[in-house]
Amino acid sequence: MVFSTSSFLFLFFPITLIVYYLIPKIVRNAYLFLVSLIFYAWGGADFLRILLVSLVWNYLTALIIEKFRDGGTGKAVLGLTLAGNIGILVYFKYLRFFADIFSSLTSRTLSVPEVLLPIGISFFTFQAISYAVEVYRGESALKNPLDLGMYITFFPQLIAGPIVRYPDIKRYIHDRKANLQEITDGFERFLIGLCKKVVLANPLGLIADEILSPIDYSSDSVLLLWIRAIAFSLQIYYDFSGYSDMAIGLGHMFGFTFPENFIYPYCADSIKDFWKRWHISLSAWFRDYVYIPLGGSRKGSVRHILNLLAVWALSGLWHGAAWTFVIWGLIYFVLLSLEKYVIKPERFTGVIPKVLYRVFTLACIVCAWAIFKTPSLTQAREFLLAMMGMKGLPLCNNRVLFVLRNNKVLFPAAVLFCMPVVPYLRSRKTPVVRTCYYAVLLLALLLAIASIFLDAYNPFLYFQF
Amino acid sequence: MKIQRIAMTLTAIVFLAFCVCAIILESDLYKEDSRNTLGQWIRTRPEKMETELNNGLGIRELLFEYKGTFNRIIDKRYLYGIYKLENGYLATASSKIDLSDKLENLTQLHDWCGEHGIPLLYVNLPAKHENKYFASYGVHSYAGENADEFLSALAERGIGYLDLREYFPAEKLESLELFFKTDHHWKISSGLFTAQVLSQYINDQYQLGLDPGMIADDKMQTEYMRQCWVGEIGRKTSASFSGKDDFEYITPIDPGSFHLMIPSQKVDETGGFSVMINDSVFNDPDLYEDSFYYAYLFRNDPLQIIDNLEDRSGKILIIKDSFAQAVDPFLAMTADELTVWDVRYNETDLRDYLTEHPVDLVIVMYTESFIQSRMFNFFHASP
Repeated sequence: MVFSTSSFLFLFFPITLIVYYLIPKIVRNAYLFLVSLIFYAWGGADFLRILLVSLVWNYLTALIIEKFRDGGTGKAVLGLTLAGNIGILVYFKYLRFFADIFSSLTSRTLSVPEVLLPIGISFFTFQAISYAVEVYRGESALKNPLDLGMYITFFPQLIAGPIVRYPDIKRYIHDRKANLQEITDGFERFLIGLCKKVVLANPLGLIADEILSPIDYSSDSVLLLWIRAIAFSLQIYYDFSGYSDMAIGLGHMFGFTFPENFIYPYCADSIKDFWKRWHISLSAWFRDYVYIPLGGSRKGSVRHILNLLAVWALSGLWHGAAWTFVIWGLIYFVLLSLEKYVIKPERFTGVIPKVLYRVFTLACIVCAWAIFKTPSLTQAREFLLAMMGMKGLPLCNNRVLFVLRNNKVLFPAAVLFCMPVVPYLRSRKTPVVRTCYYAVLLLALLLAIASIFLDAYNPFLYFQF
Repeated sequence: MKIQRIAMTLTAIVFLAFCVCAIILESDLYKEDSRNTLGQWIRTRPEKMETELNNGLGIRELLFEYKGTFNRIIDKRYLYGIYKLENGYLATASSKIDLSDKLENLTQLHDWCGEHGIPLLYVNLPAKHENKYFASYGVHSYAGENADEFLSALAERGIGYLDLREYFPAEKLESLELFFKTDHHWKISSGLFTAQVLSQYINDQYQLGLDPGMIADDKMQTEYMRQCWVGEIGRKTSASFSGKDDFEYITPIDPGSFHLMIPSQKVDETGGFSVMINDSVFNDPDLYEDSFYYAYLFRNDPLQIIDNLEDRSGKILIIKDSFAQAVDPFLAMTADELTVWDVRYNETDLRDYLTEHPVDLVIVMYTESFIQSRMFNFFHASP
């Protein structure tokens, strides 16, 4: 089930919320676990088995880890837990990819079963790993399996994050409440996310999807390719941050406070700053469970660079079982290493160098997203060369002007809301400003609902992870 | 905070109202579904519920118009694969097509007709998908080029053709006033003009003795209906986005006498010109259901036979697309018998029909934007 559908908005969500506040507190975790399973099964009941197996595995092994934490047994069981979680992920997501690598290296074909990718496997597996590691580090394991089930499967963040690490949520498992103001704030946050996803991301996706066209740019122009890449950069931001807003808003309505996942990443002044603002929950996960355990930046520059390489290769791979994702991750490894050891943008003084570096940062991000979007490295190379003007394309053509004209409201709105306009408007005390803000929000919401009822095009990009 | 509470409360009330309607809708649908048990019915919900809610909550048309109004205000020029041209006309771009199989099939039909003493004429009709209308949008539409290449190939193969683009006044083609704004079809007056040109051409080339004078302009009467309907393309974008079209209801002053047979619809009627018209669509039309264009000859049927009961000569079989709806009733007034054949819906072998029902002339009449493989599948069996 997806948030931006009629069945979620007008049946699942209101019924779930109303019943939640009608039932006794003592059964609320079990209730949330049950509705989350229904939510997950809606997209394919076959995947439910995998989710439940993962739950049982992590529940039992965490109890053992807690009991034998201080000895070598605890560490061994932790290793076993991680192997199990990573094993599930590798089997369902990376088996074909690794088999293809093996085939290309050995010229032998490795036969692997065809498996469907369970929805959200990367997200709930990472949450499970977070739980197991934190129990090993000293947290108490959850004795009630329904509590663990609720934590891992809680429907707002089950299939597309944010990846809620166990320390961030444990206090809410047994003690949470939401007053009317918090429910109202959560509902508003949810609606903002819905508008981001449907009103901005989906139409941008129609422009961006042309990146997937065959490698024949003869009727294109350099500017048109940049427009498509920028459209994808905006689409993926609004798609994913919109979903995160909806997840955070929903969580808030049930009394949970999830950490922020996006903080206006396209306002970043460097690549490092960008990754402090983009998919923060994933960055935090890799920082806490890969980067710091490997030593982080505390073991010399060579080791630091190797640690960055590991983190960014894995980060790219997390996004998908394809070389384009790995290369995408490695590009950020290179850029971050350069920033750290060569460019050092924190040294820049004066407006012009800072502005230029911001433009450079954004250009790198857009080019990286273009690689992320293309289905193969060959197509990525061709697309980038064409973007750089190295394929003999004209700079501009009528098509560019038409695309800009046809989206003369969409593009400016998409760029504008990359900046903290909404918090600014919400913070205004002037009744006129606030009234205008809510009027625009409700008109946008009506447009979102119209699109949900009418349009067949409703992709969700991070669903595939 | 107060403004926020009011806005969120109103929104929550709307969500709750939809929730109640959705529950009622689903329970009604469950009660109507007598075949399934509750468990089986629940298993169908992931697949069906979304469509049922989107179609059944009763606000779809309102939302459609709202979205169309929004798109019109922000001057959207491309929606759902449809372009709104500079003059407000809606059109789609045509892609480049491989003409070889179509040429092959048409040549086979031509040769077969030739062996049986039946001349064959290919008629190319203009459409609003020519490249010149899209040039400022940076879009290349190949309709005109496809037609040019096709007709050139016909000439090389010695297959006679008539290109109606050469007969319409250039300024009318340029301005697109031959066509509806919100529909891909042309106006009834364009169909009448085509019938006038075609009947005269047939007489000049094939000496069939048709009577073009029956459909001269002074023999026609026109009732103008203003802003009365929305065409097929307009319905995809909403009436508030596309606007509405006018309609010219053209009928002959002398209704004549015809026998119309549509075997697939069990239609067997005798009467004047009105026997070919479905004028019920003009009364209280549904904007999204009723097509004024298809008031002429009802729909695309596999086979329609129009027998002119007055003294005429010439039996013609016309293989057509939907542009012929506006042509055939008038052409039928000039000939003895007009057989209308739609290859898309008629899965019998045309040669078998022609063997049993010989005609004086076979016309293949297609719009330049509709040269597709399935339109040339004349035989539906091994050739």
